[in-house]
Amino acid sequence: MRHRGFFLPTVLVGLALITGGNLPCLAADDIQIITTPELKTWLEADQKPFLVYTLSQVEFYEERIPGSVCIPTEQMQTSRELPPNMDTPVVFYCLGPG
Amino acid sequence: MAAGQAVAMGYHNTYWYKEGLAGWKKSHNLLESLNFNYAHRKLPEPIEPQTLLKELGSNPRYILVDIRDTQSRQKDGLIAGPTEVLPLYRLHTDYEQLPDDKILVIYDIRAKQAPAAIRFLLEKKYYFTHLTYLKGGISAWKTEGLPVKAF
Repeated sequence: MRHRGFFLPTVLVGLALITGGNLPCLAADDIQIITTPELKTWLEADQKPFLVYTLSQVEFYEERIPGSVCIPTEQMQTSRELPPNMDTPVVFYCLGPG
Repeated sequence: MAAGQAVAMGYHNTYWYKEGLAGWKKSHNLLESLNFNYAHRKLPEPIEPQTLLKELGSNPRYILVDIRDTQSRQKDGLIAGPTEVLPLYRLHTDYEQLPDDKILVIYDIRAKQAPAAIRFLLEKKYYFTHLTYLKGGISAWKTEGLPVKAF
């Protein structure tokens, strides 16, 4: 799943149109913040990001965003589920505020 | 933090969806569940901090189950008393280490995650009457000035 050549810029231009240009910072190797409408648009695209729920399997079993995989933070370093291609966009989430 | 770990591991396109499940639900987006009924199962009543303190001092059937991660344990300390430490991310594989003849008091930071642990244990045939969780988690316990010990 490669995104850098064509797909990601296309998605971001789309997101820019939706968000009025208010895009997450794209500095290399930084963690970028993504909002709900941005994530929703991206998940509806043909080439989706790799979406990771960082809490437990027990919570993942109850509720999750469709298409997620569960990799608890404590097991991130040893997990074999992360994509082998380091260029793959990876989106992390947990319960959020509230 | 998971996203930070991914960057350290070499992932170049790392995003943090900080609104999380709460934000996703608030915007009325679809969620997936392997068992909707399980996720909405009735819970036992939570136990108040003061009541728990009293029970721990007088009732040997009460066992604390600390489901927090190590970072939280180091930051907030532990409630004194007989304790099983079982981080929530390991519950689905290691739950059988929990006794089924005691009253298990699940606690976390703010009682946001304990209900999921309770529902899981109910699904695994632990008795409804043998399960409860600390109301407000260790945050409420500390707010009431109750004692903690260092990790």
